[in-house]
Amino acid sequence: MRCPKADKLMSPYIDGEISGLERYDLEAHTRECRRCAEKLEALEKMHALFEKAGHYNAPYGFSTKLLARAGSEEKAAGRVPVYLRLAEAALFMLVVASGILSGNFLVSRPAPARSAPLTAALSLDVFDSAPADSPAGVYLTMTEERHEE
Amino acid sequence: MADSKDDPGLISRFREGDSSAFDEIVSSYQDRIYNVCRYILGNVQNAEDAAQDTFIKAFRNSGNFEPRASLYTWLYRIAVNTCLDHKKRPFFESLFRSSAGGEEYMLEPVSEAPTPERLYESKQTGELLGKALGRLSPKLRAALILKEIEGLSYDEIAEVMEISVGTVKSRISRARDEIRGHMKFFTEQS
Repeated sequence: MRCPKADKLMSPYIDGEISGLERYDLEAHTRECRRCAEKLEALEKMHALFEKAGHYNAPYGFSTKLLARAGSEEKAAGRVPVYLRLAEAALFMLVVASGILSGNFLVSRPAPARSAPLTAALSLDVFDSAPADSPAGVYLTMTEERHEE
Repeated sequence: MADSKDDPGLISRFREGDSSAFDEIVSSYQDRIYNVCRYILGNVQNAEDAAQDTFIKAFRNSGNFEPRASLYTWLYRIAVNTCLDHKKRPFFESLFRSSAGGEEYMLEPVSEAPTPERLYESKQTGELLGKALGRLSPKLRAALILKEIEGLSYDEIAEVMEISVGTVKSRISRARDEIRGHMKFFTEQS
């Protein structure tokens, strides 16, 4: 076994997550390689330190605070449907109002816009009066006089 | 690390949102969850907040818990993810407990009563180790703590952290190498 392979196996060796064959090979290598033997020893000492480390218990009152918090969460969850219903009602009214407004828009605006050119086209006011000394103006004057007679 | 508390009746009631089942689960797991949060985050207040958040999340998602999974690895997963979401840099305290009088002591058998010199040395070493742990990235620290402090297997750690076993080995190995480097540096500095 070479050092890079031995290096990779050191942590699993300490953690007992190594096969029997790998264990045998690693131990044989560390008997031959001083550098790897020193590193393995250092890792084993570190592991021993962790074994002496304390385990902390949850602080006093932890479960009381937690259960109170969970209880208020449950109550809050019960209230949500009411707000949801209000939100739904508001959304419904908004949709209806939008429909009414857009419906008015569709009914009233286009007709005046479309009919304006048509009525304007039919109106005699479009036409300017003919100049008096023009053939048209003379004709119109003669026609008016005839009607008056 | 099979858990004898994975009672099918308890799990079923918990999944249905039974609050008494939740009470039992909190009572059974609060120390373990708090412990892992304490080591990952490094201080009392952050650990308490994270541990509380863990159980609240579990409560909210009880319907999503798969009965064939292990309850404690599921809880650990929520705890680790909650801790990894904490943005604050941890302030690391010593890894050794304090007695009521405020003195630090190791967890050793009574027959091996520590001398004052050994107590001092163990306190120093504990502080150095705690300091070195604080220098690790949260993911490396979480993997190492789940192994060294909580005693989970590589497969269990992979399940908790949702990574491959190869990545677990790699993270634990890197974490140990980095701690060695930091402790050497701190020792040389002092």
